[in-house]
Amino acid sequence: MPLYKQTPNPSGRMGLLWALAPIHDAAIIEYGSMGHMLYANKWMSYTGLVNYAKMITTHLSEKDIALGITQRLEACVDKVVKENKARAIFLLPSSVPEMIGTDLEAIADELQSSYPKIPILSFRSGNFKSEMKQGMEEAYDRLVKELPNRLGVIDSTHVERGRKARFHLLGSGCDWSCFQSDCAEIIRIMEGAFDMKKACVFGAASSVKDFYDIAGAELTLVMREDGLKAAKELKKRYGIPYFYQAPYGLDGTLSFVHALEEILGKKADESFIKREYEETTYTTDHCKKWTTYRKDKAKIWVSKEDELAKGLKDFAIELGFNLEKGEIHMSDLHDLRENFGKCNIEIRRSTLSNDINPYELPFMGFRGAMNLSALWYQHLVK
Amino acid sequence: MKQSKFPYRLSEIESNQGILFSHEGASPGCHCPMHTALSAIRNIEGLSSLVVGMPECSFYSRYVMDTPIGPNKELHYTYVLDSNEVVFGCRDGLTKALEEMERDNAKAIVVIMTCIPALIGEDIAEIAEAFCEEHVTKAVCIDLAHYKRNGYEAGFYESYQALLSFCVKQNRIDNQVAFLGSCSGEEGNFLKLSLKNNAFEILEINAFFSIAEFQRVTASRLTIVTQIHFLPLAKRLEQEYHIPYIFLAGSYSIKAINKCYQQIQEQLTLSEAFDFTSFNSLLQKENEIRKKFKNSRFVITAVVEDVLLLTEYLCSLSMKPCLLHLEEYRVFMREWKEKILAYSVNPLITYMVQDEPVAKLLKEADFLSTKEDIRLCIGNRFDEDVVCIKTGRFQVPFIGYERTLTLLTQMENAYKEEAYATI
Repeated sequence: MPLYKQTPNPSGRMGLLWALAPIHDAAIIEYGSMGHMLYANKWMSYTGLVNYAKMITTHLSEKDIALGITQRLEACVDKVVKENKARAIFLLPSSVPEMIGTDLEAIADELQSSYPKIPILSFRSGNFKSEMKQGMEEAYDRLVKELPNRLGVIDSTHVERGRKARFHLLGSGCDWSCFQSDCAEIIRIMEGAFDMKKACVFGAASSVKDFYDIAGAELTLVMREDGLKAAKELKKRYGIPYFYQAPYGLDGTLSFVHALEEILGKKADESFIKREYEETTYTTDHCKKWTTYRKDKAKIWVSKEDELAKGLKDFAIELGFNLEKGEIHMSDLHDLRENFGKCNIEIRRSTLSNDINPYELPFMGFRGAMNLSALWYQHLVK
Repeated sequence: MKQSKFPYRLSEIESNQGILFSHEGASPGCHCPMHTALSAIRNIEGLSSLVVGMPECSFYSRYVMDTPIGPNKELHYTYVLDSNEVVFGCRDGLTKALEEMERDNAKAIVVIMTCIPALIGEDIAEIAEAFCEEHVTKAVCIDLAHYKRNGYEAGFYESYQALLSFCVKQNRIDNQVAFLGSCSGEEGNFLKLSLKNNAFEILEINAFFSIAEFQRVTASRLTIVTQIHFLPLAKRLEQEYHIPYIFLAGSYSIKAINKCYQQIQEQLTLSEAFDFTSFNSLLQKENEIRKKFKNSRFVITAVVEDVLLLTEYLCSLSMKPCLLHLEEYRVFMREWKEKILAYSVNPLITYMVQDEPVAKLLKEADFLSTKEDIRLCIGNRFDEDVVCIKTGRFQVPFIGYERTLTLLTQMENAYKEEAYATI
């Protein structure tokens, strides 16, 4: 029985939207009931993303449904193209058109032939079964498969060379609290350790313009399973190797760096790693000491079983915490209301989130390890 | 969708389907009626809710009902149709869900039907009725499919009306008068005091009330409607419980307000007429505004819940409506539409989905500047030369003369602001 006393899991449509919206110079057009998009916009406005895609909805009426009229969608696309409001248009599926069998893909193809200068992509994960993960997976995959083609990017030989090595970052998403700062931390580590620059950052701040360079990267970093399919496609299409690991904690981040040394075939900058190590151990050592002093308080509970949860749990164990309920609880704010600990830390976003700071402290990487150690330490010494 | 480039005119509007968007797309759009229904229900003590729909409806409803259990143990659950139920219906699952809510101690449940259950034709109203027959807990369904309208006002209308399902016939209390809607301000307080001085008991059904209080409404001698959202409820109270109502919120002009107060006096057999201080102030202000705004043109782009009533009043001041944002057209609004048309005006009716109307629409609406007359806008400012009451949602929280006086004062202030800006 699909009765929810708490909040249900996000849908495939939400996954699509959350993966696509960070492409700030795109327009996302939904042919469907209007209320969804307003809420989606509200969600995006509290992610700390300063710029995100233009979100447009056509709404629809009983007459449109009964007669299968899609003129609203066509008029809307026409307007966006003529006013030059976006560099790409994404047509978002919605429950009512899914129900009546509107062929969004065919409409997108027709519109693409009418407006050949702007990429128009449609997506499928608006059906009644898709969950967030499938939505995000489809979004990244289609972006990799279709968007470069529509932009006229053919293969790596057409991309300018003789510049700093680049990497794609795939799979961090705005359902995680620190998704922007986590990406920023990975970018900082890659620059400091390997002198590499970011290319496309999927799921956080990015632009359609970035996709012109998609073939010119040397590596794809995958933070979440949702991005694996797209990473494999990048490898198949452009020969770009990928590495799947979300670097949490000191050990996790060091192993991440060492693995990249092997993949890239070069050593990480020793002075950078040494400095990062010293800074991080300063905070982690404090925390470690206190987990031995206050064994009664050194307990952590992290909700769910994804990369974020696994990373945090592994790091907690590394510092001497036990994985138990009762002290430090980490989840979304709805969940934390139900599973209230003595120290409650929001790690996932929900309708109660109000993040407006794009420069929050991360959870990933060296600085993420410092941030987490400091947060946990505060609880232990209280 | 209409082939014409412009929305329909008022004379052509017969249902919500005739209200076209002001722009090709809404960005980001407007709330759905589920949102307003939940906003209304959230403030009613003892009332639980069950949203039936898709994950979006369920997930985002937590923006309004941020907790599944309200302050007085009300339950705010959601029911997400799975792919089987979308095809084969959700009768069994929904009945079980209502039973579970009963086990969790819900006493009165409003089941909110959203787009998909409405589209598949699931008879949730009948499911709720069948549930009531076999259980102590009462449930009622409201149909709030967004595709049947553009706006969200239906959420208020339907929610308040649905509460009657939790009422039973009671013995008439001859000295009980119910106010449906806000009755604040000097005039509201004076009216309530006058009635109390005449040995009447006042029952106020406003934004915050309990189901237990609401159930007393059916024993009232008279209901006074001070907010349009309660009008369908008052009509049903008259129809089903023979309780007469006075639609005070429907009157902006002095003459119409006088008539309402006279009717209240007659219905309650009061010996003395009401003597409101705001009456004389309004008389003076109305004359001033009538002179100042005579033959002016106006547009209303803000959400105004009684936009046709307001327009009719402004027409009576010799002002010409050019473009109106209409949230929802309901059958009882036809009377007001006819009254507006009787002034030989026929404004464009649209649903504003972006802040500024486009120039072509304003031209068609005959609202472009002629540099001679005054142009008034109630809504977001889109033109420097327009006298503007700047607001996204326009509502005056008072009643009777005081409400109209506040409206006219706002118009006067906007006029002065514009005049100073020009200097």
